[in-house]
Amino acid sequence: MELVLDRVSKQYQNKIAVDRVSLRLKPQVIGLLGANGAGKTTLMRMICGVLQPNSGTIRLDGLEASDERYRDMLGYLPQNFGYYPSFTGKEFLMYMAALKGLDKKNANRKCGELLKLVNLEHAANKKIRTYSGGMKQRLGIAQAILNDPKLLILDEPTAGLDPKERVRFRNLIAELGKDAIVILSTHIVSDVEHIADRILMMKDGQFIFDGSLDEAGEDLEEFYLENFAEREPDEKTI
Amino acid sequence: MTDKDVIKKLKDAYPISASEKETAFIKKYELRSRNLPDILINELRYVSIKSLLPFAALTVFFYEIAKLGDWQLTWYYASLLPIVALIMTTGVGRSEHYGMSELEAASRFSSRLIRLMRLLYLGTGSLALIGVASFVIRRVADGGGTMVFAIVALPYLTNMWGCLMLIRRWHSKDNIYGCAAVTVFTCLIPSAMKGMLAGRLLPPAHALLLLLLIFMLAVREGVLFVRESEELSWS
Repeated sequence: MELVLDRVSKQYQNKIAVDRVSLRLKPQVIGLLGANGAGKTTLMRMICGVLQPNSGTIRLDGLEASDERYRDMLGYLPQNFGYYPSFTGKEFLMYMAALKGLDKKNANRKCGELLKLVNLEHAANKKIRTYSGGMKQRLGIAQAILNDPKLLILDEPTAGLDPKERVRFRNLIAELGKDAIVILSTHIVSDVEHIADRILMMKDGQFIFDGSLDEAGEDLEEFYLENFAEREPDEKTI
Repeated sequence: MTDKDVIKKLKDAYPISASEKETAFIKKYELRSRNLPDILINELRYVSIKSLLPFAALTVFFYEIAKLGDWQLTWYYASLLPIVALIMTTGVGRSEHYGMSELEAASRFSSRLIRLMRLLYLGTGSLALIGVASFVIRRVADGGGTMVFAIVALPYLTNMWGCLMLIRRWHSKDNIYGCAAVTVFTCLIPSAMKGMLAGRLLPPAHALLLLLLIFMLAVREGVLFVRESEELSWS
């Protein structure tokens, strides 16, 4: 399985959000780092088929992002997402399962398993509007993996999670990354430090670093700040 | 000889043919059992029937009162229908309003199709109710059937057109307030029509032409609304 991006670009009026990006990805966990406005979310949306690139192609084993078979293998957690207020946690997952093409019996089973996995079993029949931020985020993670995706795109997935939940989440992603292409976009360097097989750093719509954790050096956070932050030469991270 | 050796010897003795490899490759992408008709029926379950209930309740209410034979009631009914149109439009645009559009856009089935289904279900339902309402009001109140339909449908369709246009251009939860403002404006249309019809400033034939124009604009807006669902606006 291989995800191929070939000279993908996206432009909005006067701003080039993604600038001729090319990439080949195999099943592994890929950490995507970058400052606000670097183009990470735009890139992820194009990979998910939510946005159309102005030029270039995105293919998963030859399938284009608009192909139903591509979308059948896709799991996506956006940075910000909402929910229909009348839904309980279980109803939300069942609705997403229907959109992902799961039949009712499998959807029921899968929803039950995932609610247990993300520790929301006790709140399954409560309205989502009563959930805390962390609970909503966990529900979002659950819907992203409903269809056992082979391509999993996670945009800031650990936002709102407490440290214990972040560790659980990391373990889950590491496990998923054995068989699937997992692209994890985050500002929290420690999230990718422990689980990413490959690091991509994005700035002004282009990749400025593409390599393994070893290539980035001992301190990934220090390396990240050197590439993104404007600071005095002798300033060090705490 | 180990198991691995046996397996290797068997593989060498019976190689997989090219067509079987191809079948295996394609089978890897075998889609799950849910197909398009399932999804369309499923989406119907999530269309809010509550959106149609105020309409039905209003129609029944006015039918009972219209038995008194007061032609004026047609205007009152027409003035309240934009409020029902507001409820219907928010049903169509609920993905944007509640921030679900991005999740739906990344699902297996096209978000364009989901929007189209919602528009058709709610639009067809509401137009059918307008037709029924016009028929029953005409039976008990004074006035031609076509004219009653025009008086009732014009503010409703104008509101649908205005609200869809707003939702398409203004991607925010706050667009509901804009739609409410459009609704207030369109509630005044029947009063204006009444004055213009009474003063012969708007001949009935022109009123029907205006209705046709608004209907086409509303349909066009609906088509654009569905078409643009594939591309989120960048915030």
